[in-house]
Amino acid sequence: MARWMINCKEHSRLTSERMDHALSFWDLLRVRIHQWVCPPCNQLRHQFDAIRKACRLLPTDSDDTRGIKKDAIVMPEDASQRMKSALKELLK
Amino acid sequence: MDSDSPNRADPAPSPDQWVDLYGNYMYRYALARLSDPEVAQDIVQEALVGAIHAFKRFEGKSSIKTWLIAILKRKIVDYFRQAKNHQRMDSIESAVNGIERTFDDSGHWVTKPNDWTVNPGKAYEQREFIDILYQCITKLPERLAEIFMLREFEELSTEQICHRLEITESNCWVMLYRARMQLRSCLEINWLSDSK
Repeated sequence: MARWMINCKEHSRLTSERMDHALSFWDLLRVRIHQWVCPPCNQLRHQFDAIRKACRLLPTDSDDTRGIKKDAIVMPEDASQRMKSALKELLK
Repeated sequence: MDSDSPNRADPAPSPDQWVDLYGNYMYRYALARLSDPEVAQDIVQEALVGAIHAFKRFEGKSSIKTWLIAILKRKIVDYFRQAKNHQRMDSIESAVNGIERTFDDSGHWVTKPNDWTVNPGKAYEQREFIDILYQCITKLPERLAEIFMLREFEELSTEQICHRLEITESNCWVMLYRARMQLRSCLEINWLSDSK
């Protein structure tokens, strides 16, 4: 296998690592060439991206939290009172 | 009263005002990741109690709200790391075996990755996707779940993670790779089969 050709398993490892640090020039070239010739590995890249975006999504900053308008989501009154009491005890 | 502007400059309100000022914001933040309202309430309370204990060390470099959310994030990470009521994979070794089964001897896919959505921008907006993703995180081996959450949820750099957990950076990259592969596999099975 030519030095710039990698298989899908190696590509998956490098694609993950690319999310955590800059790859070397050669590794980046290998990844790009592989993605060019391998559509399934392109899907993997999108899957990793989707997982990251889902983790880093801030639904509380948007107008719509999990399909429910954010103003509709409030902490129940009893929970709120319970927390206030707990904090009050600690602050005594 | 509830403040929703994350960038509002807070005049360092006293702890007895935190529930009124930030309770709903923290609750929504936790609920978006934990699904269960009671668990979300417990985690918010734990975070607030933890914040009271740590308040003496609060240096005012960020707003109180940002500081409270950072503590809440840590509590959520702990929850996923310690989740006992889910069927975790036994060990990191089983995650490695999972990767081995994903590829054949020549390193090619045994089952090719699916196209998760026609519009990738919508995948993570779907409630089911997020719910199943967090369920899948609870199935990761504890160590992988912790490292993954620190990286993708707390958004720490791998350098910061290594410093905190006293592991090498290359070890961290390997564990993140195993976690991501395990999660995508879990989502392929659970999310796609649900959504089709």
